[in-house]
Amino acid sequence: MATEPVKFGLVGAGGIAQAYAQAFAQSAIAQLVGVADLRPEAAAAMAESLGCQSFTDHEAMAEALELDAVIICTPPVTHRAIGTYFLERQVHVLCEKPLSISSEDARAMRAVAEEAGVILTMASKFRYVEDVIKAKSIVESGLLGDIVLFENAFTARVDMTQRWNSDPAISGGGVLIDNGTHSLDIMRYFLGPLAEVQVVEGKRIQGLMVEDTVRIFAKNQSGIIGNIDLSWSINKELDYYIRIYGSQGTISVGWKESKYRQAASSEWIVFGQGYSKVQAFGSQIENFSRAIRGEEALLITADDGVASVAAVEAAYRALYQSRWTAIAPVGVAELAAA
Amino acid sequence: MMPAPAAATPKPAFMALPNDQDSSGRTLGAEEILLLSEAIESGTLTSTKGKFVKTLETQFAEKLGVGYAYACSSGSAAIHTAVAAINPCPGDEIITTSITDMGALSSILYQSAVPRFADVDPRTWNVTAETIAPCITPRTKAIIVTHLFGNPCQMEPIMALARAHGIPVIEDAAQAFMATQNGQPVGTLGDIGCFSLQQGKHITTGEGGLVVTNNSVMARKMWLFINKAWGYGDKKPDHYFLAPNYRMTELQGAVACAQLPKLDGVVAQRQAGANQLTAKLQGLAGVEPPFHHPGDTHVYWKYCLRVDGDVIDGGAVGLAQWLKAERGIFSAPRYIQKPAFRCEVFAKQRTFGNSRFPFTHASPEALDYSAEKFPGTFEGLEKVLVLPWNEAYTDAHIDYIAEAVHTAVAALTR
Repeated sequence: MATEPVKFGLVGAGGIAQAYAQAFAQSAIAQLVGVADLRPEAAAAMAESLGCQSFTDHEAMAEALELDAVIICTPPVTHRAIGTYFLERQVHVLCEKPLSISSEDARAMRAVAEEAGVILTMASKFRYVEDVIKAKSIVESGLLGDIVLFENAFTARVDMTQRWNSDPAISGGGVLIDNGTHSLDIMRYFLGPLAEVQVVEGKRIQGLMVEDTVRIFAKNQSGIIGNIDLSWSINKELDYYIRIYGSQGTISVGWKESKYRQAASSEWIVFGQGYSKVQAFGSQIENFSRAIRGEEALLITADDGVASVAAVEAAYRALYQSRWTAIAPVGVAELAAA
Repeated sequence: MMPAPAAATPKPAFMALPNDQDSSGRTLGAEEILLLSEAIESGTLTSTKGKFVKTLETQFAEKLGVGYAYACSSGSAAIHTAVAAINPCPGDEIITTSITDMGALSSILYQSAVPRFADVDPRTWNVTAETIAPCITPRTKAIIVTHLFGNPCQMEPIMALARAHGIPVIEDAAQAFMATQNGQPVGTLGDIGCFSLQQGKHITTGEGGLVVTNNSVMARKMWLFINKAWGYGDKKPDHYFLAPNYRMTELQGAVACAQLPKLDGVVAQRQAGANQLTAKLQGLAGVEPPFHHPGDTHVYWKYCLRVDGDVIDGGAVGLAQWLKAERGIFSAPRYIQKPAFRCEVFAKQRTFGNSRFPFTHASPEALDYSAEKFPGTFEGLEKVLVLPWNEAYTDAHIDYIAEAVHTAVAALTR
């Protein structure tokens, strides 16, 4: 069956856009036709390497090209305006994380998408990692018994002093919103709707206006707890980024391999070959494209995006007030489970 | 004495064999009536309030040495309950055997998954690690192994394969009560074991089933599934998910409580009888007695011969016809007649209305039923002759069957 590929525009030609560019090069059903960036040379350079047109603003791109979908790779503070612009034009939107810097913005974007009848999804690459999907299947199967504790860490020494990610007016916060969006989304993916969160900030090393190290504690609606460590200033040197402990076993999702061990066995069983950025971005674009064509269910819905923003928002309230803070339910599933 | 003319060889009078469809071949009697009377006199026939089903569950768990056992309404319900505990999504795949009862397959479809059929070893009619391995995909949510006719599948390599992929294993032990592998009963070798108390099984309540597990999460989900997913005993109970009422009644529970102590005796008698017959059939050209792996015990739900059509005229079908006509022995060539995937529910995808769901969500590979993928299945079905088997067989019955097979083979050898 010969079907036209899904035609994509890319808004923003920064670092993360490069990862998408690689994914497009390998996709049979997603085709990049335009790149827009306020910096003409960045847009032109990327467009040239990918063989598509470049624009200096997204509206010009929308007018000039018949786009099926866009990927928004601009800083978080711009997501609502740009996202809404495309959704209203009935262009499907894959928005980089965080979906927005406030849950009000996220809910508004979701409402526009529903009204327009198009797809809104948030990028959360780890959900597309094969090992993560397999790990979820193992956890759900019950092979590890009752889940008791979730652990996640995203830590690396990176100099953020010169980057927009540490300017709260642009990014909405520090490492908590930058990496915490991934963490809380993954925790919710494994454990279901999250109920409450508490956050403790570590010592600021880089002299930023925002937090650069935090420890998050979260609980899901059935009381399973999670520890999440995020930092731009240390590296925990762990070979895994997710570890889940159950009453009958432990599973570890790692950068180079993933494995699990049942309590009754002395052996770790390797089930996955680790993290591949190219695979994750590729799968994300494939799933989004197939969902647009009605061939597959979308893996990350607008509700998931809103939930993740709501969780980060609650996490900041917890950080400022230094107490356990409820996370607002965001969709039918979470209201039902509440 | 004058030799009789060949054409007038007299048929011996047919010997009636004990039959598992009536009292001649069942262990139902005074003990069952006593407990059944007690159940009826108690006025409590629901297992949510009564004691018999709870007692059965406790005693069966102890007998098998597992953490949890729950009774349900049938062997098919037991498989359905096990599949539901795995909670597949639409189109997910559950690997199972191509030679099994529809009750073990329909439950997969009812839970929105699709069976991915594995071929079998034609010598045992069981799936193996080798036949399962090519069926594993990222969509595999569980493996169901069926210990067919009471003969255990080779669980060590199967479990190693399943563990390497993080896939839970369900054992269909409907025909294999107390069959063992390295001393451990089947049903406790994988993650969940399913048993049947249907009329023709080792012990019976007419219809009935049991599920067992050592896994607390799976146990909780199975218990809920049997009970409409209603959280009895919880602080704020609700119907937590979609689930039927698969409860066993106290009437069945009472009968099962009386049957359970008889199980070991039934198994021992079936094994002793089968060993006698096997000894009498050794070396007979064209028919192979049942094979089981060293270290296993076979519990002989049925006694299956492998009939070589190159040696025996008409093969298994010819032998069955002879046994019926000449000795009144009713056997079943081809067992379920055709591989399960050739049944209309699969071949024509007849499910809910005209939706074809959940086949609509399946990968094309899962629906590829090409004959060349199933050489063991076709060979196994062509050769199998299922002889009825029973704990009430006496030496005379076994001699009668042995004589019948010997004479049939002599008559039919090409």
